Amino acid sequence: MPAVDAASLTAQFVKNLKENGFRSRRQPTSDDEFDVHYFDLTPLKIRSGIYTPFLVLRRASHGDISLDHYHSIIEKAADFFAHQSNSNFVVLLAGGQLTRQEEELRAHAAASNVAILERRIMDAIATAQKGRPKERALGTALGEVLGRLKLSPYVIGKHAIGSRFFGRRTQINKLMSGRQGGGCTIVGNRRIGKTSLLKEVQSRMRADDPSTLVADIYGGAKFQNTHEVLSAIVRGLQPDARLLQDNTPNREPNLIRNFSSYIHSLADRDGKSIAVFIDELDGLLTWDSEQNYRLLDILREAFDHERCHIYFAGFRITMEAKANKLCPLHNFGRLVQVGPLSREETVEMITRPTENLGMDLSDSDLTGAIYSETAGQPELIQYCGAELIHYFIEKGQVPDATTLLTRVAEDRGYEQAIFGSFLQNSTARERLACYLLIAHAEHLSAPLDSYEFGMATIDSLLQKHKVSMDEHDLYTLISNLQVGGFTTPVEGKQHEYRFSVPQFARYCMNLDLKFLTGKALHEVNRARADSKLSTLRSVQEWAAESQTPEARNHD
Amino acid sequence: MPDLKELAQKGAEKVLQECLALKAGEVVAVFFDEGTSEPAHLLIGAAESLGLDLRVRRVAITVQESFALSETQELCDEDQEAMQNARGIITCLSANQRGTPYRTKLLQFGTTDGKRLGHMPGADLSILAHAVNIDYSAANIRCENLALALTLGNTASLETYELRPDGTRIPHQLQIPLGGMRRFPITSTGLVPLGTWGNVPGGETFIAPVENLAEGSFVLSGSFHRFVITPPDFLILRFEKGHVVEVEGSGASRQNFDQLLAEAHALDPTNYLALAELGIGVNPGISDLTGSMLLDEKCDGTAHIALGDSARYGGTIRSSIHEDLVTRSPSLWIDGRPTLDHGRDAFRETDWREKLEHVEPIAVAMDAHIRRTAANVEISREQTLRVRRVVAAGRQCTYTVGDPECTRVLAAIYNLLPFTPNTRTVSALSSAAAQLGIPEQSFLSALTILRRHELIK
Repeated sequence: MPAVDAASLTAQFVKNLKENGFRSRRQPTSDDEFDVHYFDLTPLKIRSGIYTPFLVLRRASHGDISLDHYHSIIEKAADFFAHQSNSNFVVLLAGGQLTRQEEELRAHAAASNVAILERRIMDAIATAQKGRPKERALGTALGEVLGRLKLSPYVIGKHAIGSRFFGRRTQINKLMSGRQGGGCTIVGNRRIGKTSLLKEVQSRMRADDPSTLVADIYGGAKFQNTHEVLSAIVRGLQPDARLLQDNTPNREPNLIRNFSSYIHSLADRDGKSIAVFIDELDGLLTWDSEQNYRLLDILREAFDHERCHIYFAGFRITMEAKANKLCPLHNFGRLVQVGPLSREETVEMITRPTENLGMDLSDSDLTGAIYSETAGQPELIQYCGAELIHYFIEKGQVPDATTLLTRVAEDRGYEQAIFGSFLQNSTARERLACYLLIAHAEHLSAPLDSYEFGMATIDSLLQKHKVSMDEHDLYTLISNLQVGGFTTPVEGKQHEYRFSVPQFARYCMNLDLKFLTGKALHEVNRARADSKLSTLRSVQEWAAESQTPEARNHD
Repeated sequence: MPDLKELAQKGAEKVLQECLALKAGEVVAVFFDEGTSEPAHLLIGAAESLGLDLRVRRVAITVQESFALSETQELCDEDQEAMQNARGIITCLSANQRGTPYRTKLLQFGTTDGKRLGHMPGADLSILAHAVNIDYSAANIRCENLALALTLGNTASLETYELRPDGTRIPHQLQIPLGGMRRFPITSTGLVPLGTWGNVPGGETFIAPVENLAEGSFVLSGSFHRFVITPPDFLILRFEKGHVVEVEGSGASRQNFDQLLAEAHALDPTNYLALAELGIGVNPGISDLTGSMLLDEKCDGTAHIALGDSARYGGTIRSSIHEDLVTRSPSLWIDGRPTLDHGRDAFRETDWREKLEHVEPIAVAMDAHIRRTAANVEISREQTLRVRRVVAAGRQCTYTVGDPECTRVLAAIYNLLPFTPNTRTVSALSSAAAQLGIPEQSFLSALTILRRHELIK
């Protein structure tokens, strides 16, 4: 490697990044081998942690390094990476130009999550225009060195936070601006991104103030009483709290009696902020409503404090509780609704990361097609984004919309997310209603993405097949389809719905709608004939059953 | 003869009932300011009388302009909530330039599935009375005819005229590459499709030409931002490689145009001279040019080009400026076929709508698999096949394929194809078509047409 003033070059490069808006709250550090500068690459929307370490060699200029020594440096960089908890990779700034022999090292380093940026690449990044062009130059370089797949932000089945979190600017602003204490409640359908939003707020709070004490609780069907929930909160905030050791039998435990004062004293004693996040609140409300909202009363009292914050996420029961004047959730902080991503957010979710990974979508109709296909459902957009990157790696070019959407629709995971989950999580009557609605849309020649229906349409279609339901059962059926994310309410139109994604109906039609209708009708009739017509499952039972595997494994 | 207010009242009802297709009980959000309270009150009154559920937002011009000072400023909760719960949104706001970032925010937030957003910057009573109060079915047909030609065509020849003092017209030609199925035009009929936004009044079809290739000259004889050229005045713009290289002309027109270019240059020295759009106005309710480009570009009998940004219309030029330049009574040929003749509609159905018997079928292997493409296709109850493509930022290109007989066959064959990701072999499709009474030759011609329009692959 030729001896160019490597130290000065790398120092200039780091300075250039700083001057061009790349920042991090974390101070530079040093060890025997490296000076470490941390940069927050999350605005690039490629898969990176909050702090990406940029390593600069301390003792030698790059020109003096032997090949063997270079190997050992990479080992040390890899070791440094292994000890980082918030990074997806580390960047090693090489002041010189790699020789062909040394280039092999780059692949070796990349396999150990070390991205070597050599002089030529650093020059290209440094000379790129401030803003998006510089982001693109850095992202493209990292993508080429580490592989685009590694930097793909589209990770299916994992909560999207940090660099992988997209859109929701309004909701985030609302949630973060309500931080003068109290509660915030997030509501939205299944798989719409409530948990990701909750986790993102948590992550931003931790980044803003690392001293914040945080408890992260997953409700659902896991807890059965107030004591269990409060214990989990205290354990999250202060694992060794004395309050947890009280097991006095036959009287209300100290933990319940003293919870509020414990939370307040924790906040007052050290001046720390406290944040509690409770996901799947519906599961807790089921039994808490039967005890006159004892749990919520305690939580409301405890978090009515300027440095104490509690965030809930849930769906139907949570919404009902929020609207119920007798429930402590009513008027307790702000309500934040989460729906599908807007067209603009969808476009950003696709273009920002792919552009920063060196892919040019500007002359294609991909983003419009992806929005039409997914209707802004974040999980489905992830599938499209992931497939887009796979295709680019495979073919070296971006696909046309048909190729991309065909590949996505052929993906078993995508089919499972849309159709498989429908089969698993719906009753025969719910399925029958959907099949009849799809046939009705076809009969009317109505485009599937804009076909709208209400309770009366469902009722009349079911009646034609001699399936009669009272208003309560119809309401439950419609609610269940909505909770499951199969249908979406039409905004600005009372009690009207549409299918959440057109591909759902297409899967049904490809499988032979008449056959599916016949099967569902048969099941409905059989249940009737057996006089074993079970009542429709309650939303909370249904929600518990239909949790994603990840959610079930939570905690 | 009804007076202006009566006509405007009718126009307001048309905006709600036809442009936004709203029905009683549905929610409509109306945004207005102190400069547009007259038309806004007519819209509000019409909404009330139609039984719509109203959300009214009066946003002071100073508040709108504050968005020009900060790129990161977000819409307030009240604005967002009004739009979130609405089926239809109307932005009846003043058209001042400093309010553009605010209006853009409204468009970005409001253009989403299940909503229609009617964009009405600079609305006044006259617009409601005339420009909005038109026969939309006629405007729709013209827009879609133009969309068909601009979609399939490779090159547009725009002929504009220099009017000499002796009354003679000297023609100037601008050759504009269209891309032939590589670029899609936007149909702005004034009827806003669900999930999109559109200008109200509408009445134009326009396309982002292929960049850096246009050659020739263009006579600017109509209007540009804040200025109307009075005949016989004109300016001549010469283009090379898709950029203006020379401007000829004198007098007030030249002075104002130079000022416009100077302002554009200050904002974007790189792309301010780049050709970004070719559009044709079809709105018969707009008879006079006013210097308000959102209206002028839709004036029937005119065509326009634009300089600057084309990315928001499906092109690749990104710029902070977009200046429309309107010319009067132009002629237009697409791939040599007449489309406009001195401002009059010259589109001939036979030039663009396929007849099955005139299409030479391409060879296809019988065991080849065919699938639907990502383009949206609507098949009406009358069995016409209509293409609906998303072009950019929530805008659409729509047109019907084929003559009346051909479109029925296309619809029937398209209906025989499974949905994505499934496919069907040509032989299976051919057998199914035969069962519907479609002869082999017609079947193969239909496949050729569907492929030409990229509806099957």
